[in-house]
Parts: sequence; structure tokens; C-alpha cells
Amino acid sequence: MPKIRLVELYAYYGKGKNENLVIEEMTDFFPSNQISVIVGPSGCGKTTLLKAMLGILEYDGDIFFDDKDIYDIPTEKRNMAYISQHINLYPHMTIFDNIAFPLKNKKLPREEILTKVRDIAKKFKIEHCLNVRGRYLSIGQQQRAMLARELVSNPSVVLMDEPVSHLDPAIKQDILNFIKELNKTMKLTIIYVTHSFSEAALIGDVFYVMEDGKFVEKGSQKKLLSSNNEFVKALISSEQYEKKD
Amino acid sequence: MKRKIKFSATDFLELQLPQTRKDQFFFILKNQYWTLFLLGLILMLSLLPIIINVYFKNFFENGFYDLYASGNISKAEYDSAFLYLTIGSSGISTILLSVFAISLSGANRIIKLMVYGEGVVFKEDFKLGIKQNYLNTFLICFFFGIILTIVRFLSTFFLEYLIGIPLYIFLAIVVAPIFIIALIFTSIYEANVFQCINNAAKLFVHYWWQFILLSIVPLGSIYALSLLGSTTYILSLIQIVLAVFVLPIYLLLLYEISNSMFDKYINKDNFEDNYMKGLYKPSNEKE
Repeated sequence: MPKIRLVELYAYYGKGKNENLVIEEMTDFFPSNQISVIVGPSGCGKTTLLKAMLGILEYDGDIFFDDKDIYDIPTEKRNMAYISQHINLYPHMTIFDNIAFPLKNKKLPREEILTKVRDIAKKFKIEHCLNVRGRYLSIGQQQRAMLARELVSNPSVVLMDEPVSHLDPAIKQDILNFIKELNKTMKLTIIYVTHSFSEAALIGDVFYVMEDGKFVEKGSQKKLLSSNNEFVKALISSEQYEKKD
Repeated sequence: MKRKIKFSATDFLELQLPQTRKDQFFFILKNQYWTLFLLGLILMLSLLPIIINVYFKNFFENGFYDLYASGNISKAEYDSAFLYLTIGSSGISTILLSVFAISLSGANRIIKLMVYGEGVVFKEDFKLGIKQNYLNTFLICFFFGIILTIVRFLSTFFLEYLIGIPLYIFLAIVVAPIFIIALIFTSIYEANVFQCINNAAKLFVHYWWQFILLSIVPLGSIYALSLLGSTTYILSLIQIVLAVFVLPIYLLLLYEISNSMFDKYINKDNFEDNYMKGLYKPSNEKE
């Protein structure tokens, strides 16, 4: 069953003469409980699409979550998490305070906050880091803490915007495995954006190749590798070239 | 401008968690300083009425002294005014301690949770601390205030006999530390105020010199700093700065030291759940 449906979606920056159309007549869907990876070069509209889904960018057309039009639902009530490529833990707070932050904002009772934070920290293997500030953790631990903070409110959809692009390959692999594990255990619907096909291949269940605000190819990894689309071929081969380099 | 992320080159390990109360003191200072600072601000606000009271007491005291020095009032009149001012200001401070006890009881719970390594949900825990600790905290502050007022009265009234000096020394090295430890007791154990004072007095026998240090160092520092205050205004500013920056750290230090005493004399045999609570125990020591 599709979790998210896009119907004739247009998204743009600016207004009037300055309008810059980034997403053009996009109609598609992302399935439930799977990792959908949107892969494409910089500037093709990947982040813009996430912003539209998140509700922080104006759009025309419709976006449905579980068959419900979300246009009028404010961002904080869309039950989504957004994870960007920047680690943005609050530096003056401990990991406990960071993870508890969204729960405190929701004014949940104290005991519920403590239980939720401890449970997720245990799941993310950072339970012993709860009373420590982010700066004393490794980058991988900080990334996990950030994921924990975004997932502690049990979002039904997680939007990830190149979350590991700045990490070392070894840590990158760790985090990607971790995200895959989370997807299975927490039954999350993840929409993962990247410019790297090799990164997409490591994590994705379904792939969407994006060019100039449109999906030009969609399907399994196998389908993409055998695609006749010139853009998809170029994207994959450029990556192979990069890897050899 | 791109923000540079600070991170450690290696994973933070469980072994790096504090294993002694001393380590824990610095660990909390390093990681939860902002929570302590917030506590300091709240403590200072609740101390403000007392600071203002002391300010006016000093202000009027100086005024009367000037009148006496310029020959406008006699020595007897000055002494009488001095006595009334001292007793009056002590009495008012004792009543105002009830306001300070509100924030102190909340702060006690927050610091206890920090020391026990439990998460702090600041607003809720602060309120809960007031609910749980206020009565005992208020009574301890109130009793201490009354004792202080009596000592001030005696030392002012019998000034010529120098009765004040031994009384103040007794207050500083015996009464104050016992009451301070009793305050910590109230937030950890379920006991009434007299039991807490009684238990603190028993611990005083074992740890008398640590108790005295705990009391003398802050009281001495406040006294030394007060000498720097050339005017009552500067003196009040010093008190405000001390309340914000030093008082919460002092409370944390008190908690760490008292908990190491409690671990040894009370928790190990009677309250196993509290024994070394908040400290990392190597696997062979874990239950």
C-alpha cells in the first residue's frame, strides 16, 4: 500500500517573474515500510521535494499520506521526521536533553519521556552517552543520537536528506546498516535522498532517479542497472568512474 | 558561515563514565553546566529578597554609624539602633528563607537526579522537588534562621563580653554543616526533619573535619569576598554573582561528598539501590 502519493505536483521557489519551477508535474508514490531512495545530481529538485512533503515549501498539486491530503496539516502535525546532512545536536545539552527535546515540547508526562528516551537510546546503543554532551561523542555516535532525537516521537515517515554524505566510508557503512535495521525493526517508511548511486545501492529497496524535477526512472536496483535511459546510464557510470578514481 | 562540529575521534565508552563521586563532580560540571547555571539563576531570584534585606540593613547601619560619628546621636542610641537593625533584619531574613526554601527544594531534586545519573525533565522535576522537599527544607532553613537570629542577638547584646565569637564559631563549624547535610538527607531519604538532623549529627561524628571544611570554605569565601565590597551596593552584587555561579556548584559538591558518606555508612547495608547510584560499576561489581 502506498504511504505517500504525489499527484501532479509542482514545487517552486519565488513568485511572479522570479518564480523558479523545481518540481514539474510529478505523479508517483512511495511504498509503506520501505526505503525509497531518490537519487540524482545536485540541483535536480531532491531536497525541494522533501521540503514540499515536510510542509515548509509552497506547492501546487496534491500530496497524500495514507490517502489523506496533507496540504492543510501543519509541519509539526505531519508525523514526519527530517534528517539533514548536518549534525545539529544542541551543543549545550546532554544527549538525554537532546533526545527528550521534542517530547518536552509535546508536553508529555515525565515518566513517559524518561521511558521513551531510555528505550530509544538502548536501541541506538547510546544509553551510556545520555549524560554526555555531543562534543565528547564520535561523529557516528552523534549521528545516532540525532537519529534517536528525530525518531523518538515515532514518526510514520522519515525524510533523510543525504544524512551520511560528510562521513568517512567506514562510519557511513555503519550508519547505513543501522538505518536499514531501523527500517525493519521500527517498520518505518523512509525516503532517502542522495546524489550517489553507490550509496543508494547500499540502502535502498526502491529507487527513483531524478532529473530536472522529474523522475526519469523508477524500480529495483536490477532494473536501474539494466536501464536504457541515457541519464541513468550516465549517472551509474560516472559513479563507477569516481569509484575507480 | 559553516558551523564546525566538535566531536571525539573515538567512540565514547562506558568505561569513560565516572567511577567515583569526585570524577562525577567534574563530569557533571563538564556536561551539565547549563542546567547548573539555570538553577543558579532561579536560586539567585529566590535569594533576592534576602539580599535586598541585607542591603537595607547595611545601608541603615552605615547611616546610623555616620550619625553617631558626626555626634548627632549618642553611643547608647547607636547601640540600640544597631541591635534593633540586627535582630530585625535577621528576623525578616528568617521569614524570607521560606521563599528561598522553594527554589532550594526544587534544586535539591534536580541535583539529586544529576548525581544519580537519571534524566532531568527540568520544569516537572523542579515542581516535583518543591512538592516533595519543601516542608523539610523550609523547616531546616527556618530552624537555622532562628538559631542565627538568637546568636546575633546574643552577640550584639553581650558585645562587651565577646560572647559572639565562640557562638559564631560553633555555629559555623558544628550547626551549619549539620543543617547543610540534613538538607541533602531530606531529598534522598524518607524521614522527618528531626530524623534528618539527627542522622546528619551522627555522620558529623565520623566526618567532622570534612563537614567543617564544607561549611568553613564557603562561609569563609563569602566573608573574604564581602571584604572586597567597599559599598553595600557592591556587596549585594557580589552576593548575586555568588548565588548564580557558585551556589549551584557548591550544592553539587555537597551532594557528591554527602553521597560518598551515605554510600559508606548508610546505603551499602540499608539502601542497596542507592549504593554508588549514578556511578559506572565495572561488570564484576554489577548486580
